[in-house]
Amino acid sequence: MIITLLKIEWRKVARNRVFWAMFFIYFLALILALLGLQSLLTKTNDNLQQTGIASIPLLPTNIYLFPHIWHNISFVARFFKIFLAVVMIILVTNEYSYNTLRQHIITGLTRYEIVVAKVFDAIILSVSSVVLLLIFGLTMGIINSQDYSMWDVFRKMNFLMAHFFQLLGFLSFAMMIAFIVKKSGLSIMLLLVYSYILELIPAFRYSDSFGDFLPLRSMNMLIEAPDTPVFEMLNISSKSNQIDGSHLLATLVYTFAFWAISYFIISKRDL
Amino acid sequence: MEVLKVNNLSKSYKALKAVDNLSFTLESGEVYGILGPNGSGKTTTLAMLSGVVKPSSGTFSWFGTPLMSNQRRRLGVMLEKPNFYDYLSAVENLKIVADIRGVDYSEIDPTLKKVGLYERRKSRFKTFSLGMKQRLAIGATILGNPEVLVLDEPTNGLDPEGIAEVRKLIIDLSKGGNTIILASHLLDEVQKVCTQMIVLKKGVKIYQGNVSGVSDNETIIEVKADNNKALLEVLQSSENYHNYSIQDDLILIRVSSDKTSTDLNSYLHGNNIVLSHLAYRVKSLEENIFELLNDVQ
Repeated sequence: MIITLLKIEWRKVARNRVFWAMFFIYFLALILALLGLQSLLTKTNDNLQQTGIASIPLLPTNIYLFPHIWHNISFVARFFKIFLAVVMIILVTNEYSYNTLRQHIITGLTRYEIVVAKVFDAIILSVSSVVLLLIFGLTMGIINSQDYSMWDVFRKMNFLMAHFFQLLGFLSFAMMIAFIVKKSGLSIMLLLVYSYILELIPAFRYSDSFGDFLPLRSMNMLIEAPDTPVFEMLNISSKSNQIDGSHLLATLVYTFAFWAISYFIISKRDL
Repeated sequence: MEVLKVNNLSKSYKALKAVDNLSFTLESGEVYGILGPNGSGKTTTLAMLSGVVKPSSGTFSWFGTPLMSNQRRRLGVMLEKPNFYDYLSAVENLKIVADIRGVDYSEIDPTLKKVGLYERRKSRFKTFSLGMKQRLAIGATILGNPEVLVLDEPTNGLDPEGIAEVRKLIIDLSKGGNTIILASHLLDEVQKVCTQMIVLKKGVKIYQGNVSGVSDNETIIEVKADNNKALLEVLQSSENYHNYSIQDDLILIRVSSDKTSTDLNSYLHGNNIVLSHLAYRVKSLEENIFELLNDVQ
């Protein structure tokens, strides 16, 4: 059944130009950001030294070194997951706009299978992003690092796992919104408003109690800013070189909840 | 064999009762017409029976059990307008249908030939005309030759030639042993294609039976006499002919089909009525349906 669902999903996206365009824009934007960030940091360092503000480089001089590269690129990727979430929303709302959600039920899929297929989409999108980071990290790490052991290469790769669960959680959230709202534009709007405005208010207001365990906050706190002097200077309080187990657990719980809510809604609704 | 059993099925949308306490049983091998004007609950009924709309109350069973995915392969359902991915070709769209229904891809080409789309099989759905889209939807429905076909207004949007083709296809399928449930607001269509019919009005079943039965039950005899007043008195007191209506100066008497105009004439003669006009009129199916629909108003 799972193979059939994947085959059907593949048939749908294989020739969907909008899907591929958005998918590659995400990859391109992420790679350009990852590549450009070091140039930006170097340039800023130079400026600071030339103007005499600082005598030594304040910003990291090389973010592509093993083992910290995994943390660095995962942290940067955190800010790009919105693009993939839009792809996810389109994958779900397409089924409403082509009326194929209804049609597939009529043809013989169950409501459960409809939701499971989209969960697989979210998993595959997340895996593809991890693969991109893996290839980028290995390439740039090998080019830039000197004197590294095999252990250094793999030591911080758990950030890729954190990236996977963070992305899967966020895509599952986007999927749930799209299943509920049905319209792509409105779904994207709601996702943006919730992610960048709505949740931030209670997250900061109650940061000492439940604030850090709100859905998107938990996911984001899986990969905190690298604990470096710069972030110290900028007074960014949330920084850590570790992956916090409680946030991983919260992310997993939320992810399952988003799947369950999606299924609950689809199973109760007239389509 | 019993194919479908519907028990007290209802669907309400807020104040509106779209389907009201509907019960019927369908047997295999027949061609059923579900007839009713727009908004009579045909599509809502079929949507509930195919699992996309949840009944407010009531139950139904296909092949003796509640609707489950493994039974859906025995059902081919086409509701309203064709729903396909517009950026995929006819073949690619049917492959998705084949994947869902577990049908072999080798059946796709013959099906496309059957609905007259084989030449355009590689064209994207969005380039199709309305009639071609409709034919592809029929193709998707009959793919894998399901035992039971449910077709909601299958000739909608087709040109006369297309309508004739689709009707022929339905008749051919029924000869092949498929059970067909056809919803239509066109009497003519039901009359040409179906053997049995269910008439719906405002969500209520007002008739179920043979298509020919609708016109068999009753006939109308037109009469006129020089003394219509005396005629009416005789009719009122009669046992078999008291069901009449007046249309201009004609009196239309509804009689059961076993009574002939000769019976009536000799009866009236015996009561000293001489007729100046006597005509036997078989009601058309249309008149019967109109009466059925009007009766419940």
